[in-house]
Amino acid sequence: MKLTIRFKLNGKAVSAAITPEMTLLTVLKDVMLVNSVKRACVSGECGACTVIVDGKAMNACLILAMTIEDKNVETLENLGAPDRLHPLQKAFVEMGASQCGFCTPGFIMAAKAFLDENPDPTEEQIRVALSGNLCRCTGYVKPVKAVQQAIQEMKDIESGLTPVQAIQGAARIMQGHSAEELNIQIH
Amino acid sequence: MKKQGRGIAGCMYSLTVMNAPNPCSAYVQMREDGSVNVQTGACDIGQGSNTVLAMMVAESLTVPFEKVSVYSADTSATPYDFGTLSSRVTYTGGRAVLAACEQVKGVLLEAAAKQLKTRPDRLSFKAGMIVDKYDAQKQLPVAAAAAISQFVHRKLPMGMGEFYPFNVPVDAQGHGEPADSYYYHATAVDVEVDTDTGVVEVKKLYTAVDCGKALNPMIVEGQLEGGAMQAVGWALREDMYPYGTGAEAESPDFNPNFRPINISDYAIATTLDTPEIHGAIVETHEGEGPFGAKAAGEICANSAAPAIVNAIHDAVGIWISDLPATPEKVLKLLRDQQS
Ligand code: FES
Ligand code: FES
Repeated sequence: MKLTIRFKLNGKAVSAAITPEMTLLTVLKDVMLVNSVKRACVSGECGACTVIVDGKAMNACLILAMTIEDKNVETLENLGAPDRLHPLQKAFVEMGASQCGFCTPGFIMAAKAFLDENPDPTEEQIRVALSGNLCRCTGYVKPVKAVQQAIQEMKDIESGLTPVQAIQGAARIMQGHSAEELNIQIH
Repeated sequence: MKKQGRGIAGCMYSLTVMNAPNPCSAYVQMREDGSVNVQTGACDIGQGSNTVLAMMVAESLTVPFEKVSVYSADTSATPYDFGTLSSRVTYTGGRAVLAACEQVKGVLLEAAAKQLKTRPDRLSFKAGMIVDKYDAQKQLPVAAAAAISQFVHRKLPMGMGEFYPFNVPVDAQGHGEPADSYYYHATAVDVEVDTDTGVVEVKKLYTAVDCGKALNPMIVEGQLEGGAMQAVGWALREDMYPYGTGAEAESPDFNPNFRPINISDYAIATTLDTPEIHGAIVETHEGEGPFGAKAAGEICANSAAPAIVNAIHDAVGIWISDLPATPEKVLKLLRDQQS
């Protein structure tokens, strides 16, 4: 049985012909040909398929596609492009927080949904928020640091520093200098 | 009760595959605009070899890193490589790529010498320019030499490099030299053992690698941290065993299905299981290595498990001889120790 569902994909209204047993992961990957979403465990264990549905990070492999009618699905494609990366993407690149990269889209989407709700988390809160995303390569050190750097940069952009100043500031803070010492205004 | 312990361990590991020919090859071509295309079978599975090989090519030909594109690991298009294993890619791939670059440089020098009316042996590469060592007036951008060679002298600036790491296969008497070179790693850990539950927690982990020259320290750190975390998993919780029992398992045709087969049972560590990890790069210079580099591969996961076992012994006096050190095993050994 074929069905047609309508939903929003990265802000655009789309429709897809599906069969009832299809998951959102299948629809995104095989029907909509979205590249960033990864298919790994297909059992809700690894987070590689994380997308944002109506503002919440979800494992696309566990959602029946039928249930996303009228919902808003956001994938990594919506965050930035190579010439205007989202602070999270930029931080992941700059910190080398991605090795094989298979977990990276999931990590970034999970972090994005989390930061949208909690823009100023502690390291512990970041770790809890990302604990559903498995990574075999990085040991999680750099991904967690990258999220921290992205938070710093987002604050700096808000406080009106140029992106370059902000990145330099963030980099120095990561190396153990305080913001006051460097005369950077952060709120 | 929680008891603390500290343990260390060190290890050595071969660079390149032991006792077997394991070559790598590469094609390098400079285009008329000075950009460089590299093709090699060396496969980047996330360890960063495409980046590092591009850095080497950029350094060798003195062009900006951004000008180098690496196309790798496509068996229908790229030249042969033995594979990403045995910590061999930076070393072997690096040597192959550099050998190809040397040929490219030879072609460029010929063209530049004709253009500058001098001899190739008087010329050298310097920051994107080909310069006459004895007459600084005579110089030419590398890209211009490439274009002149290609269009005027009808010679493409391209090279084909290969590299066979040295080894003398070890014979039945144990004589030989198994691998080209070796590198070293050490781990120190602080653990906490809960004597009531048997749960072992790694609190702090220090991991150090002698990787030769660290061509890209950030990537080396990533290797150190990732390797450490894998090893913590193997030491404490990740287990894989052949599945099958009784006569079936005894039979010579027994082809074990390994269990577990999914990651809900094979519990790899998450962000919440990560200890405080400190990586240290101990730089040495490997004379045979590309720009002095050795490797920073599997070894990063090698000495953490024995260090953890030592730390458990330091904490509670038991020896784990069969990994992973699950709470059940730890508790059993603690009970045996008391009785
Ligand atoms: S593929 Fe969906 S959680 Fe692993
Ligand atoms: S970078 Fe390879 S799994 Fe995370």
